[in-house]
Amino acid sequence: MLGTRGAGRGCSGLSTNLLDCVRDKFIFDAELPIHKLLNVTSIFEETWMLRAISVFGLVITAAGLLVNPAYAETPVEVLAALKTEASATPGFQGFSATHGESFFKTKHSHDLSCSSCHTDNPAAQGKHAETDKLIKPLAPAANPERFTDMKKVAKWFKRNCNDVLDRECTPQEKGDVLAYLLTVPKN
Amino acid sequence: MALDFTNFARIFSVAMLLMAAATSVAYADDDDDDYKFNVNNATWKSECGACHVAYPPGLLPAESWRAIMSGLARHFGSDASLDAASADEITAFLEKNADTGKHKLSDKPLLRITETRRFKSEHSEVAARHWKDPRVKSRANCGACHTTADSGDFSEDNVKIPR
Ligand code: HEC
Ligand code: HEC
Ligand code: HEC
Repeated sequence: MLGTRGAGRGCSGLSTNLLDCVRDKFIFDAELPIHKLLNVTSIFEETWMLRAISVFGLVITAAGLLVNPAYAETPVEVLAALKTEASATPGFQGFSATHGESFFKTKHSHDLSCSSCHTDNPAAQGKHAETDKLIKPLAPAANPERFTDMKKVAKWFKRNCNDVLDRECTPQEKGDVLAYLLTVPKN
Repeated sequence: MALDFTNFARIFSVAMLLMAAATSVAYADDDDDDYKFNVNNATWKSECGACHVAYPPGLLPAESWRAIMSGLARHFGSDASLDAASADEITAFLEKNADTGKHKLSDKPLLRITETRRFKSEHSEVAARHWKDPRVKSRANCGACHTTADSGDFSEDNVKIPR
C-alpha cells in the first residue's frame, strides 16, 4: 500500500514511510524533518515493525472499505491533486511548508489571517472570529477527518480565502498551506 | 328509521369526541413545542451550522430564507457559497418549516432573526450588559445562552445567561 504511491526516492518499497514520501514528492524544504516533528522515526527504522504495521494497515483498510468507506480521499491524495494543478504554473518548484506557515499566520485583508479562526496552532481547537463557534483542529495529525474530502476542501479554501484575501488562493498557496499543516504534530 | 338515526347519532358523537381529542392533543403539542424547532435535515445542519449555530427555519418567514439563500456568496460579510444541489435542498427545507406567523409587510425581507420583532419581544427582559458580555459577543450567538440551541430547543427552561 505505502509503496505504491510513487517511485520517488522516499516512496519505493516497504522500507520507507508515508511522511518521507510526502516530503520528497511534494515539499522542497529539504531541511524539514517531518518525521522528526511527528516523532515516528524510531518506529519506522524498524523494518519488521513497518511490515507488521503495513499488513495491519491493509487489513484495517480492507475492513474499512468493506464496512464503511469513511473517507473519500487521504490528505496525501489531496496534496497530489493540488500539485497537479500547481504544476501548470510556469516555474513551479514544489510546495513549501515554511511559506505555508507564514501565509497561514499573516494578516491579509480585513485584519484577518487563517489563524484568526484556526489559531496559531492548527492542532488546537479553533474559534470563529465573528461568531465564536468552536472549530475542530485543522491539522490532520490532530483531526483525521481533515483533507479527506476533495469537495469539502475546495469549498472551504474558496470561502476562507475570499474572506481573508478578497480573492481565491492559488494552487501554490493551497499546497503550501497543506504542506505546512501536514508538518504540524499532534499537540 | 329510528334505529338508523340512533346509529348515526352514535357514530356522529364518537366522531366528534375523537376530533375534539385530536384537536386538544394538537394544541397541547403546539404549546410544548413552540420553541422546539424542526432541525431534521442533515445537509442543512452541517452546511448552515459550520460557522454558527444552525438557526432553525421556524425563526424567519420563507421570504427571508429565500433572500438569504440567494445571497450566500456575500453572507453577512462572509463567503458562504454553496453548490446548487445542497442549496436547493436547504431552501426547500427552510421554506417548508419557516415561520408562518403574521408579518408586517415591508419592501425588503428581514435577513436577521435578531432584528425581527419576535426576537426583540422574546428578549425584552435581557439586560443590555448581557448582550455586551464578551462571552456572548453577538446577539446571533444564540448558543451562548440557549444551552440546547444545537438541537433546535430554545425553550426558556434551557436558557442560561453567562454570569
Ligand atoms: C472567519 C473564520 C475562518 C477563517 C478566517 C479561516 N477559516 Fe478555514 N474554516 C473555518 C470554518 C468555520 C471551517 C469549517 C468548520 C469545520 O469543518 O469544522 C473551516 C474549514 C477550513 C478547511 C476545510 C478542511 C477540511 O478538510 O475539513 C480548510 C482547508 C480551511 N478552513 C483553510 C483555511 C485557510 C487556508 C484560511 C486562511 C486563508 C482559513 N481557513 C481561514 C473558518 C475560518
Ligand atoms: C462561512 C461561514 C458561514 C456559513 C457557512 C453560514 N453562515 Fe450564516 N452567518 C455567518 C456570519 C459570520 C454571520 C453574522 C453573525 C453575527 O452577526 O454575529 C451569519 C449570520 C446569519 C444569520 C443572521 C443571524 C442574526 O439573526 O443576526 C442567518 C439567519 C444566517 N446566518 C443563516 C445561515 C444559513 C441559512 C446558512 C446555510 C445556508 C448559513 N447561515 C451559513 C457565517 C456563515
Ligand atoms: C444573552 C443571552 C441570549 C442570547 C445570546 C439569545 N437569547 Fe434567546 N433568550 C434569552 C433569555 C434569557 C430568554 C428568556 C426570556 C424570558 O424570560 O422570557 C430567551 C428566550 C428566547 C426564546 C423564547 C423561549 C421561551 O420559552 O419563551 C426564543 C425563541 C429565543 N430566545 C431565541 C433565540 C435565538 C434564535 C437566539 C440567537 C439568534 C437567541 N435567542 C439568543 C437569552 C438569550
